[in-house]
Amino acid sequence: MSGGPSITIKSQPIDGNNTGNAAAQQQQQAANGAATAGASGAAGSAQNPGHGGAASGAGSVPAEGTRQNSLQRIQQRKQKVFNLPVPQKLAKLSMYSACQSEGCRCTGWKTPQENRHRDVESSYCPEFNEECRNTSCRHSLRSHIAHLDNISSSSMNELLGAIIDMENLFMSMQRVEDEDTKKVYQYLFRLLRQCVLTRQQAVIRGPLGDPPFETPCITKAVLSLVFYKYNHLSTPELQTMTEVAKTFLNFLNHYNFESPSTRRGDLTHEDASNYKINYTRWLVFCHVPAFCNSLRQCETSLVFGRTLLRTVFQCMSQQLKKKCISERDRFPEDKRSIITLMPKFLETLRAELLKDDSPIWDTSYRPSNSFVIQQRKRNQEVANVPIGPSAASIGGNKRTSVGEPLHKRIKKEPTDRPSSENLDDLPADVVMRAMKSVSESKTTNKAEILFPVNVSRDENVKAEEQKRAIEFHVVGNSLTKPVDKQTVLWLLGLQLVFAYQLPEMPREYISQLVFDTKHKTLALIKENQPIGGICFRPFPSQGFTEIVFCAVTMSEQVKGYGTHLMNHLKDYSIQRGIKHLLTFADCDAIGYFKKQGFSKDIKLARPVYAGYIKEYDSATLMHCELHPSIVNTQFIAVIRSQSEILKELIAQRHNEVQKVRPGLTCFKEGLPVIPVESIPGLREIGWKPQNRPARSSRPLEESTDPEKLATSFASVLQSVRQHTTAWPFLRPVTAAEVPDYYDHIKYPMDLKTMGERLKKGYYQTRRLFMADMARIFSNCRFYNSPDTEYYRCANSLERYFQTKMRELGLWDK
Amino acid sequence: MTTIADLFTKYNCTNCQDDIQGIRVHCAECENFDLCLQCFAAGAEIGAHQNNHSYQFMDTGTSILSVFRGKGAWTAREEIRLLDAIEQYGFGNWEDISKHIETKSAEDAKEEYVNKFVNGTIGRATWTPAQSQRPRLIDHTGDDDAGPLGTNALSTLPPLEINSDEAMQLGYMPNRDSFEREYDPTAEQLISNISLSSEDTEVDVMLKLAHVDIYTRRLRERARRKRMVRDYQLVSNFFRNRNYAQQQGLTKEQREFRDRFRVYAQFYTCNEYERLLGSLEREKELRIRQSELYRYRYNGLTKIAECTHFEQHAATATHRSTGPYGHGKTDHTHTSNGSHRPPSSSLHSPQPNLRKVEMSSGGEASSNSIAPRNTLHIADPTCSGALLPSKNYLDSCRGSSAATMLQTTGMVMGVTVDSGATTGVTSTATTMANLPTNSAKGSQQHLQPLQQHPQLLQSGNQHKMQNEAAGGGSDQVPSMSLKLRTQLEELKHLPQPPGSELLSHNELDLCKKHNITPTTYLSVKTVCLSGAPSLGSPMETSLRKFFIKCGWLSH
Repeated sequence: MSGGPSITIKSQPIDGNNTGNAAAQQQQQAANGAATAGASGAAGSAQNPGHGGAASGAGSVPAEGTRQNSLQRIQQRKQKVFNLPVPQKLAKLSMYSACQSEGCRCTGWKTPQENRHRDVESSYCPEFNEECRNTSCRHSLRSHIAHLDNISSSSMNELLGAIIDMENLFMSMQRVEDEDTKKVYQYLFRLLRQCVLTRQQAVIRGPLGDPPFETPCITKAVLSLVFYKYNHLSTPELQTMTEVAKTFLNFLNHYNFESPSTRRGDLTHEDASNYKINYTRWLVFCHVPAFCNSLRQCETSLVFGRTLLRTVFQCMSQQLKKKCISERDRFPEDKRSIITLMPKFLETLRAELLKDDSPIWDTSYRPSNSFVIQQRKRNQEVANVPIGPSAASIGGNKRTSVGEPLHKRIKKEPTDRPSSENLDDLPADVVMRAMKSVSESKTTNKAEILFPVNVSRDENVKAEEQKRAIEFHVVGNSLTKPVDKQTVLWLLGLQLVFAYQLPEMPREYISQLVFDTKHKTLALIKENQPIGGICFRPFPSQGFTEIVFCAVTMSEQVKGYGTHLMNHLKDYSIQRGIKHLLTFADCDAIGYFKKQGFSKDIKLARPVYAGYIKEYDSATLMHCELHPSIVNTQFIAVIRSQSEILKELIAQRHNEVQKVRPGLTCFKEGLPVIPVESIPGLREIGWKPQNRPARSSRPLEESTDPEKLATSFASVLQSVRQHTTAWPFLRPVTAAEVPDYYDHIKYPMDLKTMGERLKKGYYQTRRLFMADMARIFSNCRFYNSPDTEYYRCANSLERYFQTKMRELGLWDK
Repeated sequence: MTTIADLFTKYNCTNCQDDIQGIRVHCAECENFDLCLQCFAAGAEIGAHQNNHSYQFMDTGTSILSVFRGKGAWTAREEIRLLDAIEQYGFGNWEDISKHIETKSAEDAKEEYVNKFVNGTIGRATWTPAQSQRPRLIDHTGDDDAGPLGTNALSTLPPLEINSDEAMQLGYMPNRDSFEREYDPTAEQLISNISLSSEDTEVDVMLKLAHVDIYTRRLRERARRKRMVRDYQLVSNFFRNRNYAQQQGLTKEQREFRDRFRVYAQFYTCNEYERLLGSLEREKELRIRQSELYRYRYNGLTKIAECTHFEQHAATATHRSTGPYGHGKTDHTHTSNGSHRPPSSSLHSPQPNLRKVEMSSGGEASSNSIAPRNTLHIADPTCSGALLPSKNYLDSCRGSSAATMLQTTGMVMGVTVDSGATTGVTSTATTMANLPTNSAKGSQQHLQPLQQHPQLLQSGNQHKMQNEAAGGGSDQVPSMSLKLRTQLEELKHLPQPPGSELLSHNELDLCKKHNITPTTYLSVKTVCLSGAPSLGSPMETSLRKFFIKCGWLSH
């Protein structure tokens, strides 16, 4: 963790010999000196490094600052060593290099006795011809670095970095109390020393295995959880949940796990064993490489899976919640929803963690195509990192082949944000389900069908048509082909219907058009007699039909015949490829045509119909546009079924919205006010924030100065109490004075109660204070009649209250 | 239904007593306790309510309770109002629909319904099954309208070339092809007063059907005349004072022929009629040339170059003496006339339409072959017959100009045009025009007994039909026999001067004036027209002046 001071670490020789007693004593003296220097150096970082906080935040947390300072100090020291001149670098390296002389077993050059306390990293630079202090060696310094003559600058820097990491590990090993951690540190120390001696790549081998240790990893599972649980939300809300998930993963990556000995009491025997293994893996692959970049570093959330998260989730989530509460004010305005949504997210994650058949922990889980594409991109990035071979056993001192060069720590943030499709229309299965439920409800409500209410206009007409009581025929005259007798009789009958119903039209004119070969008539035949009809002339080249006469005989009107007649004409026109109907309607017929979908707004271009339509005075041209997909004879029935489907969908949506949610505990836990957008479940049901920048800045101002607000409220309350008309409201109304007061007033309020609430800190916003004050006045006006003195006191005191609030700048509601 | 009714209810916040717009927070543990979002977020407590009570979100459908997600989605209330309004006002009246919704415009309402409820998922799920139930109406009007008065034939006719002012004067709409006042405006009176009742007997029904049939026939005549007007562009010719027969390059004979032949134009289309006239004129020219060639061949000529010499000798011989040569010529000419008659008759026998033309030509030949004294007698009826159409045409022109000067309305001018057309048509058109009148009168006569003597009506109809049939048969046979006898007698008794059939009536007048035979006239004509030098005789000088006047000879 924290770096020690710049001292020379002299390790014990691996092979001790019989004549080493004097050397051992000398080394012990050096160790004592190093310990003294280490103690003084570690004074600056006495605190344990704190938890990794959230990435966002204006200031730095003290614990995080300590950690950052430690890492920064390590980097500075390495840079300083890298900047030394070459002779000092060689002298530094000689202390950890074996003697190259024949038959010598010395593992590092020793400083002579007189220069024992001088530091190589400062101004001291020994001569190359000085002899080693080791009695069994006595060779010069040059012989220790003979094999480093051809080394390159980068290789030398790598070796120096490894040496510094090794020294840091030594200091950490001295300071850590836990035995398990101490062992791991010692193992890594020996590994690094061996690598420096043999100038080889540091490769960790052994029973720990190779990362990733478990599939799927925590990152994949958490992102799958976001999509699995919150896919139904809109894009901004899904993005917010993704932010919450990323915050959680970032916290996990910077979290310091407790040692197995500390957690032994909480876990079962099997869990303790698993935790110990995972803890060791975490130390070796995640924690130590954070400050020893000679080793390859992996992120916790990318190499660990469900087993580790299950054991540490309880205490980690508690710390995360505390951190969220403490750092709420540091978050920007638009990020506060993350704070509010974090507890719910953790609860959801816990549920999935304890469930055995949860899909997010399934390796073959595929959220969606777009999500899979993003996942594939991320996997390609991960594949670029080479996977080392299996690690050697712990304590093994065998030499291995030269590996690949050291890789820097790879930090990848999941920047890809999964975004689902923006569905503007409903899926087909939703509509099918609604239609099925509608038909089921129809079946169950068969009694209601027997007495139908609100029957449509053309329902009876359609029933008659089904029973063949009425028929619809398209008839017309012809000059070139013989017209059968029945058609002629129908035309004569229609002529009579039009003549009677349109008295202002000359009869000769009606006869001329009805028997014109260019015009046709849609006849409504009842008992083989025409009772209504529409005389029209189609213009196929222009794409519209002109309606000339439209009438139903007097005795058969107001039964829906006209509506059904027009619907049939619309369907007939659609089949002929005509999509527009035009007619000149007099003032009496405008209402009828409007109900049939005609409009005075003509959508057709004027050249299309000008010169083709015969124009009439004192009549209005009306237009109706037809849609080829619509079946007009079934129009009312289909519209009503669509209405039922829509209401069923609304009812389903209503049930989603009106789900009972558990009460908020944040108010009782010390969080006085939360933003409106942070109410749990509000975004889930589709709520969108309104754009009110002027109002959004004020709650922030209020929340930053609760004491100031309380002082203002206290002064206002004091002024209101001292007003001459405040005497009816100074204390609660007693049942003895007014026996029936509490029968009418459900929520009593008075100035004394408000004073008590103010002391308890209830009024955190102006809204609550003003609501209670308004309650006093509205209760008084509700119970007392306007001519009483109490009513006048309420009005007067309310005006005074508003004046005081306006003076203090609190009244801008 | 409670849920839907809840969409239109108003709620107040229990804490701040303000109206709640949109989402409200309903306490699940307190009774009738609703908070607005701001009060709930502030942790409001009043009465027995604590800020850690369970809660529900409620919505009145105005803000977030929308079925369709996505940006710009309508609220539930707006969707319900959209469907209610469409049921009430129909598809297409978007103005009233938008007024009912109150928060959306007409274009938005139409777009929303078409995108969601016609082309969307709900629309496809509901309209696609309904399309199989679209009714097939019983259509008694066929689209295959063949025949000269059918829609296909009328659509190929060229539209009238008139501008809007002329159309307004006429009361004509070119796009509809309809007049304000159609031809025979009283035709509708036949059927406009017909009434049907359940008390009608079979005879009454048949009578009414007969009226409709009569009216249909008059409609056909109306359509036929309208077709002619469009085909021959009579309206534009009238407005531009264009004389149809006064075309460029026509001789007097051709103009007279076209005037007499105009009666047949109503049976042909314009192109057919023009081709017919051209063919007839061509035929006439070929016949004249053929006769000249026969005369040369009779005199033994076999080359065109010898004709000039022959004509000179013939003229000289005739001038000097009419002795044996003249007598011999007369006999041979008579023989040649008889020889070339059979081929002409055989050529024209297959075509019945041209039979009248042949008879007319034969009549003309007969009249030309009469002796000089008799020629004058027969020429008078021909001249009077030719002048008759001219007078009629002049009368119609005078009437048109008078109408134009009077600045009358288009209706009156239309009547004038109809009158002119009626006057222009000869006796056949007049006879056909009288037929509707007779039919109308007969109908009126029939209507009167209908009320008084229903039983007598059947016998009356039967007798009338029999009388009509008998009368028609008896009239046709005598007229044909009389014509044939007259022609045969004329052929027997009238002598034919040689070569007289080759001359027009003007040329015959010249022959009579100078007391020369047609043969001599033809010889002198050939010599003069061939550019031979003048002989200086008075007769020749007079003939040359005539040729110059006709344009055959230049100065």
